[in-house]
Amino acid sequence: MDKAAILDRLTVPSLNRLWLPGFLLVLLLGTVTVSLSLGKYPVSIHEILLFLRQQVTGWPALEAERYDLLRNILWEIRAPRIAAAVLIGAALSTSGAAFQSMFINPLVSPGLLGVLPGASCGAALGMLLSRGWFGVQLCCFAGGLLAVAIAVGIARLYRGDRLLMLILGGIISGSLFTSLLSIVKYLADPYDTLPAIVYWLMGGLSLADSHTVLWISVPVVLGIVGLLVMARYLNVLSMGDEEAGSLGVNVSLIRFWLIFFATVISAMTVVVGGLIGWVGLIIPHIGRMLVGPDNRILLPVSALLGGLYLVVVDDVSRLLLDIEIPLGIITALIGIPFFILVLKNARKGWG
Amino acid sequence: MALLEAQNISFGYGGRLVLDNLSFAIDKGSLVSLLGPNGCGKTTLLKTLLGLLPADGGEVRFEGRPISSYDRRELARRVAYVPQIHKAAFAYRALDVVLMGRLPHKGFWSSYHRRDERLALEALDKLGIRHLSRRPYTEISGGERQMVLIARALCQGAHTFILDEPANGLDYGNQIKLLDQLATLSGEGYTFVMSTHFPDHVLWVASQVVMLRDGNVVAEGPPDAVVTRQNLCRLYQAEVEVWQLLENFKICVPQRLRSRLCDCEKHDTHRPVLGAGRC
Repeated sequence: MDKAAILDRLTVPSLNRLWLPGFLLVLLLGTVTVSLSLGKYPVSIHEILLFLRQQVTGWPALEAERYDLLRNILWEIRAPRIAAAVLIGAALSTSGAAFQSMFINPLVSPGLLGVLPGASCGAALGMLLSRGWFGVQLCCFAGGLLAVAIAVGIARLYRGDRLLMLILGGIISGSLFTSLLSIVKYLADPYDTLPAIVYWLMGGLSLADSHTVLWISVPVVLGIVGLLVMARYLNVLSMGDEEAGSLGVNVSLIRFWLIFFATVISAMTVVVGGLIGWVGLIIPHIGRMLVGPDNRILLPVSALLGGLYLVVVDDVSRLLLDIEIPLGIITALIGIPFFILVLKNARKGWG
Repeated sequence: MALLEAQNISFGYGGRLVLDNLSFAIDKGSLVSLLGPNGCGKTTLLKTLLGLLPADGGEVRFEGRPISSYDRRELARRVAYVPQIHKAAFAYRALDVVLMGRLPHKGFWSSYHRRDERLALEALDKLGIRHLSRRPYTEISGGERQMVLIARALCQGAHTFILDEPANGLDYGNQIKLLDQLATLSGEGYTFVMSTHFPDHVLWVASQVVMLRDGNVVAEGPPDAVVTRQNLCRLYQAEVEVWQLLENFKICVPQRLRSRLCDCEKHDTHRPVLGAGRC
């Protein structure tokens, strides 16, 4: 093979904005480090770096007592929460970007097929049955999957425009689980369970413990990677089913896996953080403004931007006031005006 | 052997039969036009030819093999689809749209390389639209978008193109440009099957016409023999004469509109080329 041929294989020049993901990654790491230092108990960045060095190399850089204290604050309390913010932001943004391409509509969110109402309803039911924390998480995940399965099932009942049928199925399934959620709330103990459900629905990361974050990180990362791998197929799907089919794509199979990955990771976000809205809608828009609609670059950029965004918003949520402001409220308060602004662009077709 | 053959194909949506036991054959290098009124099954037929809709009865054969026996990626490397003009939701660069044509040549895990990009640029070059390569697909004109989709079909490596009303929604100049381009490519050995609403387009560039009505082939053959007053009347219930201009150039003249403008008997210096008598 001559040199030109080797170069041919190695370079992907249409991704000439590869520097941006790198820049975002550095920014994300910086933000995470700064976020670790923020909180009621002040820890300097210098100490954090020393602590990290000791964690990684095992070479003692801090006094034993100080190390134990930092280990407790940083490792047990702040790190899981920050990691959860990164994972949830990345998961919601990636699945949002994937759904927007798949449904050929820049205004849809990852909850389009009812995963968020389903997962909320599942979680509420879990709390009502008080099966312990793990039971709540399991019910939550199962609820999300079930809601999407129902939406897809309804869509398969009739022939017709697949995407339209899926959207209608999602609306029906979402409404169904919203009503079921109301029933659960109605039955819940108003002094104990109901406030817990309501608080959960507002979205927040105060319950993110290292154990949970660790076990959800595996499926979330796998799901995001799954979506990234299918980015080229997403591009083609966003031109319409028939064009995709004529380009040799098995549309229903690819769509099944896309919906599956997006649903799993969206449901996982509810498992850890409750309902956190608007992230999956607005972050892909910002991504598209930066790098255009090509999913091969848009998905990784959305994932990084989403993680970055949610870490910052979570910092605000825990530091702005003495009491913690639920995360979902802040993301909605930021998301809504932003959405009104992007509507103008969406009309122009840029999305 | 015919390149693409429809053998007694039938297709129905629900209880309604859209294609009814329909047959015709297409040779390599021909430019075939499907002509027929709205709702006669043109789009359905094209999708059946592409294998996107499996026929309920009969079969479509491509290069002698049933189309259902092809792997979809294998078929996509041979037959390309140029859909009816539509508004795109996302502002892909024109080059990225053309690059999608390389998808059937790629395994699940491998991505596009510089060679794919070069092929995409070559396809744009061939149609003389390389200057569009960095422009957003949503911001170029309808005619340009149609050309980009044809470039994608070229980039796909296919030699048989199936086009759904490619001239629809294009202005007059772009229609001429498009037809000229298709005729040029057809001369190079590419095969085209396109649906159209303009009998004139058929007379100008097509080498074969298939006339469809109610899911049946009404007439089929070279335009000279098929695009006639009687057949146009059967298709459209409109009285249209086909006139010969110059040596080998014909146009359609709708009688109804012509009679508004002049006293036909008095000014008639041309003779209708084909057909006679009333509709």
